[in-house]
Amino acid sequence: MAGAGRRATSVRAATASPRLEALFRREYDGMVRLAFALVSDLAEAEEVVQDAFVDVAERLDDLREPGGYLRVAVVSRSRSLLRRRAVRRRRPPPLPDEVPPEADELWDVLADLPEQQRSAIVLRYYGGYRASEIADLLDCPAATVRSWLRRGLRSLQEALS
Amino acid sequence: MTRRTIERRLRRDLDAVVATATPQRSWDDLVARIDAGITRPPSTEDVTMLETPVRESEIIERSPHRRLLVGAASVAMLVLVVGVTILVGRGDGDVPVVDGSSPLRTAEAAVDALTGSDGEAFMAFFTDDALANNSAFFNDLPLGRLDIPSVRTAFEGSVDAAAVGWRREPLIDRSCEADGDLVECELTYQGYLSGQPELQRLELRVDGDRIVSFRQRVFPTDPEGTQAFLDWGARLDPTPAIEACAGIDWASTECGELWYDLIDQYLAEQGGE
Repeated sequence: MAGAGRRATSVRAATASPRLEALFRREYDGMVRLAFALVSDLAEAEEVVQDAFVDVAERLDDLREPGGYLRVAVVSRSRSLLRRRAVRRRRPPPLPDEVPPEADELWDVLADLPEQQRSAIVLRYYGGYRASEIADLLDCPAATVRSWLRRGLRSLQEALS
Repeated sequence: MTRRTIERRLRRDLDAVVATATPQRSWDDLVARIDAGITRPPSTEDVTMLETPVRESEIIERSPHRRLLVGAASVAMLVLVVGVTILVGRGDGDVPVVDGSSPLRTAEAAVDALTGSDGEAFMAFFTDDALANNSAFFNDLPLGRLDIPSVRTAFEGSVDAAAVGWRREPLIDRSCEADGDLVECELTYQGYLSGQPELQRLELRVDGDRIVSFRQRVFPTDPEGTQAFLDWGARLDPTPAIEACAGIDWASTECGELWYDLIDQYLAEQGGE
């Protein structure tokens, strides 16, 4: 209970923080889109990002670069969601009609990739991150990221050919 | 279709899809969520996400609570895939652990060693024969100073269907109590398959600064899912796991990827994504 009390104080202090609000205004939409690319579901992507902001809010005073922390939090929560979704065997909702059929097809194939390969590919080709940056985000060696990318691309090639 | 074509499609099509996503929530929604989320217990994500920022030195000061979480997160690898009892150390290879000032301290040091390692998670499946022939593998595990001359896992009485798994799991809580030379520790961690907090009990028999026996029991939140996973794993050929993980740094890329591949393979066979 004492821990909960400390937590409450910290969060309330952060709630009023202009720094947090500025971060929200600057990063929210981009983070939602990144999470959406990772989890394929806008509602869940927003849940992920809102929760990530809560994490940032709780630690805001300790963070020198809350944007970097936020990015890690969003990726980490997205991956966690993907893993749980795989266990629950639930698929994301269909895309809107305006999405071109080719993009729809790629989206479906991407959703069938193992979580690590999918995360690496989204971060590389949507996020534009280098392998070393992805390694930091996914907390793994860069060699592992390159391996996931290779295998993911190979699977996409086979599925789309 | 060439790799370059795929890469081009990825850049183009991902942009096209993501452009359809328009965030709906506002700053006020976030403020409401923060207020509502004040009493949330530490979750998987709470723990996991502390790792990278801390390593990047973004956190200037660490509270004891935070340090506990960080330690638990960078740790947390341990954990048997469940429903299984692991018996470690049959008494002929015990070596000193960190602190022998009391059974409790010795056991806690051993548990810290078990849960305090860093690196890629992995999982391996073994038959009993494979274990007998591969004790070097376990000696390479980051079990601190716990030397493990042999490991035998038993699953529902079958020594053939042995499964041992170690993986990165956020540790939520840990407590130890001593009764003479027997120390019982309870670890609560976030179960990978169930996503729910799961309980693990460790019984350590301590002799001075040595752990002379070690028993681990896991109480899965999702026993059926766990059972299915273990049944599945027991059918696998253990050779790749041994080749990938034995005699090398267990946190190596190959070893870690093996674990993820196995989980992916399992989930795919179950009809998941």
